[in-house]
Amino acid sequence: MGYMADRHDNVVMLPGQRQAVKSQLAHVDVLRATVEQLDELGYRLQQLTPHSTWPTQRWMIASTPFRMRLASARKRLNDLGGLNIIIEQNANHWTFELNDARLEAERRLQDIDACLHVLQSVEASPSDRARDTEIFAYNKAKLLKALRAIRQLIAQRFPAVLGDS
Amino acid sequence: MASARDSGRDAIADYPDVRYKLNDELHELDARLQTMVDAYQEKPSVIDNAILDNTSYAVDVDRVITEVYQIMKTRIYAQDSPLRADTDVWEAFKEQKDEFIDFYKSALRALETYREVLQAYNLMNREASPLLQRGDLERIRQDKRTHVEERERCIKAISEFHGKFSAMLVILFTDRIS
Repeated sequence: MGYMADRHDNVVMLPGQRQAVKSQLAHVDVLRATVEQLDELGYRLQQLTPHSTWPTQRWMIASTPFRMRLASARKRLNDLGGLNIIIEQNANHWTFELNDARLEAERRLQDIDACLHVLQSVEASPSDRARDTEIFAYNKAKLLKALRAIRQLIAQRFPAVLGDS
Repeated sequence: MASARDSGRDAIADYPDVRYKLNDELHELDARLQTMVDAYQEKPSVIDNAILDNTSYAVDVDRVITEVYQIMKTRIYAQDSPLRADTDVWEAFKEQKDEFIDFYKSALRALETYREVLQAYNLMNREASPLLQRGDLERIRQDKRTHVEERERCIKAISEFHGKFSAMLVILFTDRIS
């Protein structure tokens, strides 16, 4: 009877379980989209290998592919925050870890955004420029680490997310 | 008669085709500009022909830059832009609009200035007395330096415009069209 119970292979599923499977599949889709976006953002960031002598225009051009991924990556991180609350009631440790990694990624995104704003809009002295470029490199490494952590945590609990990527 | 819903469905069904076609056109313009920039960087004086020569042999760099601007204006940033169907891509392009226009204006300004300088330089050379006098070499050196510096500025502005345009296209060529 469709509305009371459903069969999946040899397992009879009750309406509540069916609902849980459906929502789990929806989570997997959100997580897959998140991983894809964050992977692309990470890749674009890795491609950005600046030099302290770069003028503002060079920064503007070189950072364009990365900056064009920022808004969607932020959205996905935000979606991840929403999922964290509902994803699994009994996965507290995992949820905390994922939440920490997500917050770290959001912080580093903000730092990098601020760095880029300075590097592509302010003509500074060579020493200031060198310092700003170093700060960028530091934040870049931190953000890449946070993105990797998110990926690993998701893969650990939902291996299917990375299955066909 | 097709209903509004039908035409909406058709538009969605045609979406991948429209995006692929747009991608192809953008890619072609990108490649044309890249070829020009490569030629100017290899031998800067090549740009002089492109700016002054009105024959079909010379490639009009001005025209290609304007074509890029036109396609961005009428296809990417238009009301019926196919990119609007993809919120992430559309938002990304919207954020880059002002920066793209700044690079476009810089390229046009540099071209206009260089065209004037080049025309004046050629005119002076034609009208210069065939008999050189003491002190003329210094003047020639100064004139040539001004000419070459302005040309470098112009090539740099075109190259940066191309760099910006090309960098903006990365998201289109790496995103899955569905």
